[in-house]
Amino acid sequence: MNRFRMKTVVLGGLFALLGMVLSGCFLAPTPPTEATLIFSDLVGPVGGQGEVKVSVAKMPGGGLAGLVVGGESSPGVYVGLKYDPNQFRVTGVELLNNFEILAWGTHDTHPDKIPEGEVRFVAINPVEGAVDGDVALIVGNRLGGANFDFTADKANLQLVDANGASIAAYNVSLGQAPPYYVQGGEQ
Amino acid sequence: MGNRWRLVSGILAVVLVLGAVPAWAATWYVDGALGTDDDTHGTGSDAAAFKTIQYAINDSRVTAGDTINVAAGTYTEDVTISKQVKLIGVPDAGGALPTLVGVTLTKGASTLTLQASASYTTIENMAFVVPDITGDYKSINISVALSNITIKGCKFNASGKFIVTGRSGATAVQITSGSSNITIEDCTFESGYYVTIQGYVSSLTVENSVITNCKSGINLQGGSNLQIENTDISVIAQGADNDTYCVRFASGSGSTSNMTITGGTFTVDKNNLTATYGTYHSAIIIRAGATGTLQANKMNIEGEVVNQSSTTLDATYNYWGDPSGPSGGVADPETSRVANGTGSLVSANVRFDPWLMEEDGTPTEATYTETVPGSGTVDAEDTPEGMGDVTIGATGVHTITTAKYAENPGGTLLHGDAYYDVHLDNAAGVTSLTIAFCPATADTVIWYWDGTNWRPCSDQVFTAGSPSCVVVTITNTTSPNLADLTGLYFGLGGAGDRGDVNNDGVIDVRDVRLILQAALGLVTLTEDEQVLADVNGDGQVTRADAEALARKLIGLVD
Repeated sequence: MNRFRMKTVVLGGLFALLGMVLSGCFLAPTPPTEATLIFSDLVGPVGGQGEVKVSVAKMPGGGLAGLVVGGESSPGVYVGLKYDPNQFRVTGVELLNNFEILAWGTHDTHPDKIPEGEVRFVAINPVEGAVDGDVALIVGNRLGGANFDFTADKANLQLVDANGASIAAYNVSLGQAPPYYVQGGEQ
Repeated sequence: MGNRWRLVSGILAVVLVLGAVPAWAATWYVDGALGTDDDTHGTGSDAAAFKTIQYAINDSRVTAGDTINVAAGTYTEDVTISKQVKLIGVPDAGGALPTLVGVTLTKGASTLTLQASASYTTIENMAFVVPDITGDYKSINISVALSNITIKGCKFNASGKFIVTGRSGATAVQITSGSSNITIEDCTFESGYYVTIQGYVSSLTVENSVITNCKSGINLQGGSNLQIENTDISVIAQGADNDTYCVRFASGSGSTSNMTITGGTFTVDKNNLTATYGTYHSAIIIRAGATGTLQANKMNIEGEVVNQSSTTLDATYNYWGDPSGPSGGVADPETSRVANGTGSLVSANVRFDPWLMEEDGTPTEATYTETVPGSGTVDAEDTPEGMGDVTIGATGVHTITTAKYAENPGGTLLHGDAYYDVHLDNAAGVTSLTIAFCPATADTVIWYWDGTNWRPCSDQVFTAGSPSCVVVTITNTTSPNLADLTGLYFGLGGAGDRGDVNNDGVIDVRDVRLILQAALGLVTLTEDEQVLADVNGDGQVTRADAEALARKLIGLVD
């Protein structure tokens, strides 16, 4: 093998490797194959509005018709979706599609009930269910660029399908606040 | 050799021990149809048996502690027992007991007489029929002071004698002064005993027995410790100047101590007679000589209760023949509540409060009865703790009884906290009744027992205030309605009721969605579901209820 061919092989390998890395970052994630409640990555620039989209995929029973984020983990102690309050501050939960937000709260709205870095809400679609699609949008201020993980315990979530039955078999996909969204602004 | 000797002596010892048992506890047999009275009989049933009971008792081979089995049939003989025996009747295939009918009819005679040395005798599964007597008569006469006599599973029939002459008649069991530990259990007495069980005794127990259609029931004239359990007694008066009672305790003087009656139904039929002064046709008569502990509880009493002693009779937790409690206008010695119901009459010095709201009813903690002319209000202070005012819109006079139960009178009620009864004497002329349950929270749901299920009252509104209350309105068109109030339980639901629209014991997202759907007209809730969906207790189901429940679900409100 001559030097040219050697260079070609090495460069080809490097491009292939770069392609694999980039695809990992920018290509759409593989769609869920099972019922999944999805909290997206935090999208938005530091100092600007950040958003987390709540959506579902492959929901049974005619689709998701009601969602409660926040439950009583022990007597008198409620827990919702948690995040780093130094990086993000939720200012509202907005309806998407035909879901109605019947209640929501954060430390700012209920300082005696909710600790910092946590949001709770109830979204109901009284008419139909969503097998795949968006449910709600969590909006707020992106305070910093550091990455963090959203956390939510499945025990503190409630899902009901369009037939009025509880949905128990599902996965939860929780997003992060990756820095590349900060660099590029909203994607 | 040594081992063999030990083995032989061991076997001998066992044989001796086993052989000794029949020697002091033999079993003998009497068969009136097949037996023969001589000293070669009595050792077996049928033709091997004695013919008469008295011959068996008199036979010298029958000794203290022996059992005499008596085959079914009729034995026309007077029997005297003067040794400790167990006289056990053997019912026939149809369950008929051997029946003993006395032959001596003169005044003072007895069918069966227990004499000296007969302590520890048991008479079981025998029937006694009073013959055609001419004066006082006893079916069983404990004629001397004896102890530990048991009469069990026997049937007594006085052949409708009631009063033979003057003040005489038949007594089923007569006990002589000085006797002790007499037990009568699982027996029936019927058809005209003048006094059924009577005497002077220390520790007389009557349990699980029935006395029916007799002039009087149990009369402990002296001694102590009368204990009656789960025994029904119904008596019928026979003369205006002749006492009739289910139980009469003590005498006019002296000291007879401790009476406990638990369970059972006492019924007095006055037989259209009006007792003359000093005569009583009563369920219970406590005479002046009564002392110690006097109790009559958990009973159904349909007859007067008269206490002539200075010792208080505790007659709480009884049903007095009407939910409104006893009558008589006297005050309960402890609670001072006045007996202004329409049930059986009580005399002074009888504790009657609280009472039961129905026969064999659920225990109560407090009971109140108020009479309201026309429209008016029974103030909260005259209703049990946990209730507020009860207001009636009506014409005519009505009696309103309220009670708080000590336990759930109906089936399981999820989150049930307390249970009440509101009883209206009748619904005639009544247009509405409102009942306040206070204090209450916005979560509180008032339920009623429809005989099968607890159901939420259809018209209930939470009213914030001091105290906050849930007010239930009852009319002819509500659930429950006014007619239902002649016998109805209410349950006070705790936190967790309101919002649980599907009544599965859990408040969750399914309930929130149902309420929102109902508020938007997308689903129709049942009457019960509508009450539970009214989370804010304003009498309507709106989006505000769904929002209120949603806030609660995620812990935004307490």
